[in-house]
Amino acid sequence: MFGLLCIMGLTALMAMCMGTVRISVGEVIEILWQEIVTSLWVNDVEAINTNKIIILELRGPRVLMAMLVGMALAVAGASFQSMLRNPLADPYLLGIASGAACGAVIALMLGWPFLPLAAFVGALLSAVIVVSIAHRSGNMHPHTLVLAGVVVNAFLASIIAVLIAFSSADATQGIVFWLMGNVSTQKLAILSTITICVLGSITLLFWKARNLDLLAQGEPVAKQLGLEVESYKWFLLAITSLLTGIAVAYNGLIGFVGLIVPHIGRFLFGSDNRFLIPVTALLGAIVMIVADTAARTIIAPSELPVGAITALAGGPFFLLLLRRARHSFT
Amino acid sequence: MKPIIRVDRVGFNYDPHNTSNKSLLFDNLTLQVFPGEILGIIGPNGCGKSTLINLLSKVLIPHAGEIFIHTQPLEKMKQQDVARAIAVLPQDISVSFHYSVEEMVLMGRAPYRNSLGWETSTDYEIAEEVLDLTCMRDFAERRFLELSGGEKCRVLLARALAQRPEVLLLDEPTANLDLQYQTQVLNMLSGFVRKHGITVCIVTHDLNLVGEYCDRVAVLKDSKVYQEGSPADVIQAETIAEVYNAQVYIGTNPHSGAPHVFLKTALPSPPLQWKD
Repeated sequence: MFGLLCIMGLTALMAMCMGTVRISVGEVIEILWQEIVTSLWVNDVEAINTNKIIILELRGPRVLMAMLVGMALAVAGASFQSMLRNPLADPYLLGIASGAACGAVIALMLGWPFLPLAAFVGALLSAVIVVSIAHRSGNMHPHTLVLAGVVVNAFLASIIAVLIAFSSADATQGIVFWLMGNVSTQKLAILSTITICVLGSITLLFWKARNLDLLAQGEPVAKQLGLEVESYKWFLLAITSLLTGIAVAYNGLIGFVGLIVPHIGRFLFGSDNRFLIPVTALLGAIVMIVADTAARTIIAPSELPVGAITALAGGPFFLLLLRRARHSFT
Repeated sequence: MKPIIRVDRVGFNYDPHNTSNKSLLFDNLTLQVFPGEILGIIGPNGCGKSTLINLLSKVLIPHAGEIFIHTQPLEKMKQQDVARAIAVLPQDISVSFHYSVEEMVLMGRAPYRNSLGWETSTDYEIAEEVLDLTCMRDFAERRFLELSGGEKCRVLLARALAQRPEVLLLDEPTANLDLQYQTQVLNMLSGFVRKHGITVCIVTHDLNLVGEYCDRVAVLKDSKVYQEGSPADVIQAETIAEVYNAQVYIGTNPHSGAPHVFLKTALPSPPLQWKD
């Protein structure tokens, strides 16, 4: 766990060094250190330093955002997998991210200021739909749930398409680029709010992580082991929707992180959710920093959508999982 | 003697919108379970044996009548308190992820955990104890999903025992066990039960198991308790013909004196040595 934390810190440092302007690791550390020190003790006015601006106002916030998005999506994925007892569950594949996107697009078009709130409501609604589909059919085969997710996804995608058709050309371009998934650079105030929300949600999940193990045994068994299943499921739906909503509202649709990262976590540390939740959060952050750094450096100075990177890496992994699921998860 | 579980005129069906009498799985079901006894619950397929277990463990809520544990109505009890009083050995379980045997057994301590949910040393002691009881100590580090059916069954039994319940509900406990483990598990169980004063309800198709180990038998048929009594009274050729629509001989196990069911097959009958 501590090792992962170190790796995450190192990845973040490396990511801040890379880009059109190369900055050495030493300088990055120095700039960050100075910033921390000067924010504690009143600073002296100093000469404008381009590298400092790049680190503090561009790459730093972006790397932090990538970390938070990775954490949010990966932990949401891990929770969904345990809750639905389905190794193929993931906020993106189940259509929950699309729900958030749909909510956000509606908010964008109507000019509502509360984009994240709309995304959260959208995510919660589609999560409730998907979970009630899963619940109705009782002990559902993993593939069936994914099919249900495909249908929900297609339905929401067409709603988004219709909405886009009705919007102006300018807005369309913005929406489409946003939907492809990009780690955005945000102002410090927003960034700190997101940090608090994401870390708070993960802490809450971690606090109740043992119950996820019970839920992974199936709902009747979870009840027989003393879990108030209904209230806990609402708790999970609310938190995972919040995480997904935040990730989608600021960064668009980024797929497969929520699917792949929990499996890597399980492979490394086992299924015990008390370890899996923090491990998944750290791994998600690492994966997302790497993906985002790749997205902005491969064809620098222009950028690839990070959603394309994760899908490129995640698609084959998903197929592998599907193949394995046929053998061992039935 | 006061019953530990009292099922009082319970009605239940799976379709809440259709309450016509025909669709009722249970109608005015009344049953009592007394402390320290081993009660066998038998009946044909689809008579609701497993549903009864789910009602008793508050997985399902009856839509008529009430279930009491001691004097407390089950519906008003917290799930956690129910799990402290009643543990279930499920018939089968599908887990999608790898958990070690020890992790599975420690889940049995869930009803006793504090809000943070870390296990105490007592929890680990109890887990070791029940793993010893079910002869699964050597398997503690193994992955549950990679075990055989019989081994899984013993792990789940260990988990149920780790709940330290007053009542243990067993759903087809021997279905996945070979002969060696059937005897081993049942002897262990009846010994453990007598020693700790646990009450047991066994739902099963195995009439011979009921004859051998149960103090009392309840037969479910047509949405109510069809007959109740000692194994010798209930396991009679006529009763079984009526309930299961099957022709059998009832003999006696020469070793224990318990009633034993033999199927009448289409083969030529053996020399007459069974009492009909």
